[in-house]
Amino acid sequence: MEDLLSRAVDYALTLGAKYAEARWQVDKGRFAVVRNGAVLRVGEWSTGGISVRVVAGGLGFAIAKGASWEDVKAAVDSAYKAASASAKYRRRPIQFGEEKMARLKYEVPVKKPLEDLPQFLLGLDRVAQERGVAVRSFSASIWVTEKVVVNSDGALVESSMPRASLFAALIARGPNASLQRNVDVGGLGEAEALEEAPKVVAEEAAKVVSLS
Amino acid sequence: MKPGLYDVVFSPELAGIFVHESVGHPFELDRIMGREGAEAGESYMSLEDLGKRIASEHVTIIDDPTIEAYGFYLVDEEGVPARPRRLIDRGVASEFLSNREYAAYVGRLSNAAARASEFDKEPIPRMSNTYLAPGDWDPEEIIRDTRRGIYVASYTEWNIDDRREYGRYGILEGYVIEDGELKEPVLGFIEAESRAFWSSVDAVGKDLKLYIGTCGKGNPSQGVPVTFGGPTFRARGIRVV
Repeated sequence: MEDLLSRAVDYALTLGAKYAEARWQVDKGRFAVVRNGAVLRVGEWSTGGISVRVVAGGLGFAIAKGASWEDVKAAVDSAYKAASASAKYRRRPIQFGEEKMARLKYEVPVKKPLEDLPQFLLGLDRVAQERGVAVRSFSASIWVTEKVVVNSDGALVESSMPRASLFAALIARGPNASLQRNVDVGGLGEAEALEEAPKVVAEEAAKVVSLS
Repeated sequence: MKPGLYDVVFSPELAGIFVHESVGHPFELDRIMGREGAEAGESYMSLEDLGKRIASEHVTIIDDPTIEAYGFYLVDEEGVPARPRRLIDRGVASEFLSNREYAAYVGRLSNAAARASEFDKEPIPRMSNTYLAPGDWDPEEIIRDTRRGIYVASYTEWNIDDRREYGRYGILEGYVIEDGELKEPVLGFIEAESRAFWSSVDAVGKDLKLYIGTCGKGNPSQGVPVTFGGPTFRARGIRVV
């Protein structure tokens, strides 16, 4: 991938760009939704591809249709055209400073895999139900973002970042009104990012019931 | 409780929403320079505010991508190594969140705030892990030190204007404070003008806590993982309705 991105950056410079940057990014994950003890949805998703950004007086951005050189070259052409065209309408050309560039590969490891996301959410649902929450909705995602960034100022960065997030809506019905409390828990990794979720859901469920 | 001005003690949860909405967003340099004017909005901050006092000396607000939390990264999308950004340093506006393009407009270098949510989105200045820096008060000590006021533990609905100048935050769980003790529950709304609010802070606790969120900005819209938080803190003379 690094070779393809470097080739894109070099090609942009041959067109006359003052700066070029190419990024490959893939986000890939899975999700689950549970409402009132029932699994509503479970699925996997991914997005990914290559984008280029070019400075040529103005700034142009384009994405490649695929990962072939022809696709990436077309994206560079498109970004360069946009950058050149927009330059005509600028009072002064875009110029970047001389920031120090990183050459780095880093990865956040998953310490505790979480295999069964629907079961995890069903467990949280029971925690909230036991505390008297009438309406309970839980959605969670676990995904990894992988990137390679190359630019004409010398940057070469590879990263891999796993994340997990939980959103819960807890609605309690009191004698006179209902009350909703939203809960977010998450962080880097998988199960380790959601470790506090049972405790937080228990606390917040008790709170929303007592306040309603 | 009658509407009026009160000394209000806020929990870490409230610190989070305040730092994100009333400091983080208005300190985005593209926003300050009008680039987001038709989208996410503008800012009550201007380039001339840099180096000026906009909060009390107890207030330091930091955005730090290098904290290993939900908003973590070591290098931004433009290849710039990340570092902590002291947006407000002991009450003084110290640094705006910038990418390479906007930093160059003001003769500075990028502080690595360029983030893109997905492969098909442009990198733009964003927050990462934003928090009110802890002080040296025990949280209970702040309540004991408050003769008459309100403690706000959690919020519900909220809104803020496009310049991030005037915000309104609904109290979900709050209590009257009398002679340093929590009394009956209270509901209502906190109304805050951002600079006046941060200028009225006189006590900051030790109990730093971060909360996660997905921060939205840009067109096409980009949601990026962030955290926001802080410790328990007190602001004097805050309007509660």
